[in-house]
Order: sequence, then structure tokens, then C-alpha cells
Amino acid sequence: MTQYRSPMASETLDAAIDDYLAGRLSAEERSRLEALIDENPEVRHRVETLQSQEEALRHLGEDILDEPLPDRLLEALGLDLEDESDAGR
Amino acid sequence: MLDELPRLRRYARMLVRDSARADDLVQECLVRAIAALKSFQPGTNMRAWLFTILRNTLYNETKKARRSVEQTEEPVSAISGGQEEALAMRDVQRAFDHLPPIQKEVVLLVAVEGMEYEDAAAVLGVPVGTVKSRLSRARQDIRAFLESHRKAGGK
Repeated sequence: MTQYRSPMASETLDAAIDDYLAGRLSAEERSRLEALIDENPEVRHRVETLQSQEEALRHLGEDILDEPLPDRLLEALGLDLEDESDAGR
Repeated sequence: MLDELPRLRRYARMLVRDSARADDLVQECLVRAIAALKSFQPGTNMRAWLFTILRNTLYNETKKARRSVEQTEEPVSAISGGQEEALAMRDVQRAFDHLPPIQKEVVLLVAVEGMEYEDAAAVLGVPVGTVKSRLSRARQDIRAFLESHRKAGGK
């Protein structure tokens, strides 16, 4: 990872922050980025912005996970539906 | 396989907006998975295996129907929670909706499902480097969308 000439060189910085948030930086790279974060409120703000975006992505479509499973999918797995609902089939 | 159903449904629904059609695809995927169960090696990653089958099902059906992945401005689902949070989530959802399908796939597998790059690469049938670059590109596109919409002041 090279030194950043300008902390605002967006794509390189964003890529580094992505790796940082995912825990993919080496110890040395991490401490260099953290030094940059400490010295630079704009970099710190960028980290916070990207972090909240990642958080939002992680939650995409979460409501779908909580939906009751359609009978036909349970049937496809050969599951006994009598335990699943009162409605007769 | 039952445990994986909600995730498979989410993946299908995020790519194919119509929920009935998404469930059709998941159903087809399950039928194929059960038929192919003998070829699955116990102890290996069943989730990645199922997603590979789902993805193949999706692309076979899309080719047959000659339909492209639907794009829509509507959010996938109602969002509960704080107002500001809800707006932010909705913006990210809309940014996602505007991505081309191959970028949606990597975002779904890595950022949403939390798959390792290697597993996502296996599902997609591409090298790990391709996963990384597509994901990086997808994130850039999402950010560009969010920033342009923020500047425009429109929601």
C-alpha cells in the first residue's frame, strides 16, 4: 500500500478503508491508516460514512429473512405441513 | 437445506423483484439440489453449493424467458426503525437497485451474505480477483449514486 499523496484521493482511500473495515489490512497498513484517521477529521468522517454504508448493505433485504416460508417451498423439501399451519391442504 | 431457505429467497428476490417469480426460482433450485444431493460432499460449504444451483437456475430461467433483471424504484420491503435510519436504508436499497446484475450478485454474496471471496468466486465461477474488482466497482457505484442523490437533494 503506497503513501497517500492526498487523503482525498478518493478511490484509493475508499479501497483502503474497505479493507480496513473488513479487517484485511496488515498490522502495518492498519496503523498507518489509523494514524491518518487520527490526524485527519475528513478521513475519519469518510471512514464513518463508509462504515454506515457497509452496515446498511449488510441489512439489505433483511425483512425477507423474517418472512414465513411459503408452503410450496416446504413441500419441495418434503416437510410435513400439518405441523406448520392449521389451514387444510 | 431448510435453514438456507430464507437466504435463498432473499437472494432471488433482490435480483428478481417479483416475489412469486423469485419463489418459483427457489423452488426449482430446491428440486435440482435434491436431485443432485448425491454429488454434494458432506463437510463442504452447503450454502455456497446451494447458491451456485440457485444462480444457475436463475440464469437458465432468464435466458428461457428472455427477460432482463427488473429494475424498480420501489424498495424491496417496508423498513421499520428510526426515520433517519429508514431514509438511509432506502437510499442504499435504491443505489443497489441501480447496479448492473453482475455487481448486484457480488454485493449480495459478499456484503449481504458475508461470504468469503473464495466462496463467492466459486459460486460465480470467476477468479477471486474478479470478485474483488467487481465488488470494489459496485461500492464505488453505490457511493456515487448516494452522493449524487444527496447533492440533488432529492429522495
